[in-house]
Amino acid sequence: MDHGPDQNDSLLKVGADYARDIHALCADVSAVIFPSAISPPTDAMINAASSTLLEIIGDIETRLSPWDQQSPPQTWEMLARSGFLREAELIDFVLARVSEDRLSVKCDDGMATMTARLLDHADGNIADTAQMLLAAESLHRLAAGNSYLGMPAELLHKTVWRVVAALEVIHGTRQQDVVAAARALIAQYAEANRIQAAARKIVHFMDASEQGELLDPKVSGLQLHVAAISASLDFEHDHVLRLIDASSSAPYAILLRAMGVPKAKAIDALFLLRGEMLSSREAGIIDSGYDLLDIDAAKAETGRWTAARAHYLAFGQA
Amino acid sequence: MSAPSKLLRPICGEVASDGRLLRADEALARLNQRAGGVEGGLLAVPALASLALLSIRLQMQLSRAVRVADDAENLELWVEVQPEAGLAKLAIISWQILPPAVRSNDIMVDMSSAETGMLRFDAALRLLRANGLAAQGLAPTDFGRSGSEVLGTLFEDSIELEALLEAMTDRILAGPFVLIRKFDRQYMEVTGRPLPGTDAADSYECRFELAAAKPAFVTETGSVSDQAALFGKHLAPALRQPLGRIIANAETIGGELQGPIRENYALYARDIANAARHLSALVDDLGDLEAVERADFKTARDQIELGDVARRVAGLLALKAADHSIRIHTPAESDKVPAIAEFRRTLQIMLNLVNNAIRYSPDGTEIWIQSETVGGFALVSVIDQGAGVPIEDREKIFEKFERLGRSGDGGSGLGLYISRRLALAMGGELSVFEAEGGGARFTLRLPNS
Repeated sequence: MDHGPDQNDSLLKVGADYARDIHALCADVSAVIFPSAISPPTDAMINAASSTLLEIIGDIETRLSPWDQQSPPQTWEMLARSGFLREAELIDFVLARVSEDRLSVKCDDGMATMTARLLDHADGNIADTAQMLLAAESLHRLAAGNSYLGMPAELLHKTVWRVVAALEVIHGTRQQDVVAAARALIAQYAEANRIQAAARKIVHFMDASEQGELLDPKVSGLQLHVAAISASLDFEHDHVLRLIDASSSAPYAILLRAMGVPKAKAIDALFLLRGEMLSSREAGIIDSGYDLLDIDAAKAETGRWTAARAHYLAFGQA
Repeated sequence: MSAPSKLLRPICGEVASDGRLLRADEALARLNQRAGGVEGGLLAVPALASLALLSIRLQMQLSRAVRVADDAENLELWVEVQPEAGLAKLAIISWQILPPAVRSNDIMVDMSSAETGMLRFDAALRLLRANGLAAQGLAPTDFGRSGSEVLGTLFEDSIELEALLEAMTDRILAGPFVLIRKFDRQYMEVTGRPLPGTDAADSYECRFELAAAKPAFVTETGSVSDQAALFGKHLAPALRQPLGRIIANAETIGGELQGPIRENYALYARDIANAARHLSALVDDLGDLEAVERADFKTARDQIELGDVARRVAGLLALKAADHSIRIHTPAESDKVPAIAEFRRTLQIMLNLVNNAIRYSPDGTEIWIQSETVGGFALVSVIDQGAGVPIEDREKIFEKFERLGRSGDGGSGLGLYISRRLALAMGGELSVFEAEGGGARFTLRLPNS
């Protein structure tokens, strides 16, 4: 959906007019009564998450046991039955990839343009990391068989050894070559090559004067924009992705407000990344309420989200 | 975030698998020392220690931003960790001092006491924040309203108030002025100042302190009702929201919308919803009571048609009447009875009368709403087939909190009192008579010119 500034204004006015209609009232009341039931994952999301997970387990298994490739992966059923595939951090990671795929198509050009520009940056750290970011992005998109390289270190480590254990159970014996392959995989992993780490590193090394561009996802691309939010508000990269892609536009609007992004820029970003999901009610609320939202209050709110996420991810852990 | 300090070479260190800092470059050693660590002891910077130990445990190369804070500085370090046999090699490739985490309202911390306070307005001069003394008397709906309206509502008109509003508009320093707060007649010293903002125009802030003495222009004015007019404006809105939430949640539980629950629990939930509804009605009544008892209470003079009001009321209460198999007859659309009265208040009176008729009539009976013009007045009557009102109670029934010995029916004893006060304020009258057949006939008389 492509909306110019004039169209945005018109839409927002229409939205504002309907912001207090009966559907809005019902949605608000239901959100209070059934906060967790408002946005169950859609079938499309579940399918996308399942195929991502299947790909990751398949890639790890192929790397550990290349002579024994199967589809679906032979450890899949055992990992599913053991509950591992439902663990919060794994599901969270996979859902973040689904969000990433959905969002990145909306601002791919920015990513390529800005990162390419950064290759010539005077600061060698930024130039080198931009190269790393482009490579990581290409790997993510094009290189089949390496999907696990995008995982955070802790999660990859855990998943690899679970697959090794499952293979042992399936074959009824410890296979030293599988263990050796697992060690090799882990040893070759470098977190710096992940998209998230590279984007965050670029933001870290950028001067404040350069960071303004990162507030506009159309210019910076998704990953650098997300990394800027992550750095500014001390959020995890994947958490930001999931908040931007949430069923409501409010979390993203609050994140932008907490960063002090002016309303006009925030609306541009919202339309770019959430254009097709932005309801007239949300548009109305954001139009009339964005400036009224106190920056400190927005920061306090986002602080609670990080605490809630940590609590969620730690569920069931000692 | 400020630009990182460019390091010519990384700051390095080594951490053993038991957490001891084996070796450290000078900057890292100093940081460790500031955090309470000693040479050869455990690495005392928790974020760095956990990253090093994680790398050893996973045997993976990590590369992360690490935030470290002590009483002197907030730092963001970019750290790369390489695991080796039994230890982790740390390389800090960037050492960035973060700006202190000052929130925009930190300067106001000392302002939020019982004797001081602040109101802050955004670039469009709409009320954004309030704290301390200045927050008293504000309703939630005041936030987002125009600053001049809010100040005009809170403080009595005076030259000083005008000067403050002018200074706000011009975004210049103002005061100190002494203003009188309307609801408690409190004298307050106010200073205003512009706050540089990121938007095109600056925002504005007013600081308040209790004034030691009243200003010269002050004369003692105001009535008891002014001072007491707290409920309707401030408390009622604050009470309605939680009550609404209670009703909504209790109805959800009582309606078993999320699945069946034990029958007695569902009944309790419905009781809660009913009790909250009663409280909510009482809040409305008390707000109205306060309003109608004010000496300066006035109503608007709209041109209304009583048959239209009657039909609207019947429509609003149709479901409730149907629950009791009660039929409501309304005037024919062709019979026009014009009146001069405030539409909203007339509707309120009629709703109260028809509601009472439904409440106190036996199921399966009928209610008639009749309108007519008699001389210079428009009359509308609500006639029911209930027990009627004994002649000795026909004045008493309009007294405040009078229930005629009834209880537990959801009434507050204020509805008829408020209705009569409203009728009087509109130049009319509300009376009760005996209907043909023994029921009650409540007649509202309003001027028609």
